[in-house]
Amino acid sequence: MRQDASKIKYELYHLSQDPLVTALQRGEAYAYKELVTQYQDRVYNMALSMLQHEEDAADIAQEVFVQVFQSITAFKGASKLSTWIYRITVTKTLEQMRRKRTKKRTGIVLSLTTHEYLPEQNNKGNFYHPGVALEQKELSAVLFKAIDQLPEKQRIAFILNKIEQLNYEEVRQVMEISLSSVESLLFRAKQNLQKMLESVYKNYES
Amino acid sequence: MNNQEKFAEEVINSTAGMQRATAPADLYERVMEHMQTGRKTVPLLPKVAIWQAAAAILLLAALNVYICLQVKQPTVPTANNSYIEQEYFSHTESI
Repeated sequence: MRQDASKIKYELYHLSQDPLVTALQRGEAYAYKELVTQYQDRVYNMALSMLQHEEDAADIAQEVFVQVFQSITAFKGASKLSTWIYRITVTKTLEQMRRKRTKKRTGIVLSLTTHEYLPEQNNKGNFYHPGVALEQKELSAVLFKAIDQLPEKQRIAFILNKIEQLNYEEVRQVMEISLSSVESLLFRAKQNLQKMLESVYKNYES
Repeated sequence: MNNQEKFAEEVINSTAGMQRATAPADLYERVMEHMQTGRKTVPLLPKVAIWQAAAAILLLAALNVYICLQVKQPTVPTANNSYIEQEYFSHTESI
């Protein structure tokens, strides 16, 4: 009797879930490919917008899917699958950025002691996002340079909202913050970008 | 709105109509390889390039073998003792 009840509970749990999640949790091979096909561009685009480096973004996309497959059994469906994947992407991307910053710091120390530091690691060139229309390429390169200067949380919120086109509620779920915090982050991000871009314009003029 | 503000607004709106970047075509294969080996896989070269390089190496090797087979043995007779004797001592026979 108790066995039957737990079996029914198990069946109900799976019925209420996304069929793709159920298939993944059952370890069905087709589901792995389906998940990558469905989400690869979102994951890659998010990582690319944050890192502004194609190879690094591809590496992160790889890491994200490995993490998703390894922890899919722990996914309880409290949030949407896409939200959960975005959250993993953001975490992995931030880890990568921190790794790079540490490397840069080590590089500076190395340059002081052994002169082995490569100076080009310091200067990020213009980033041209492959999804931007040709006539907007130059303007968007200026924008991405400014986005790169934003504080971490503002940058994440701005990219999720403006580039990934997530609404405020979705941004809230990915970032696990309140709706008012999302609004505030986006407002400050826009303000900061405006300030930065106005000074860019001044420099152009002079 | 002055020119500066106009420029800033224009730049911020440059993402409008932006498409998502497309992930690498072999991402799924890389993920699966990563899962199996436990290591991140970084393709050094695209598969086509690897095949092209292999074909070029094979062609070069085949060409070398062909040329080696075509080269004839030297036609100049190798010197032996009788030849040397004949050339150097023939005019001294009368002495």
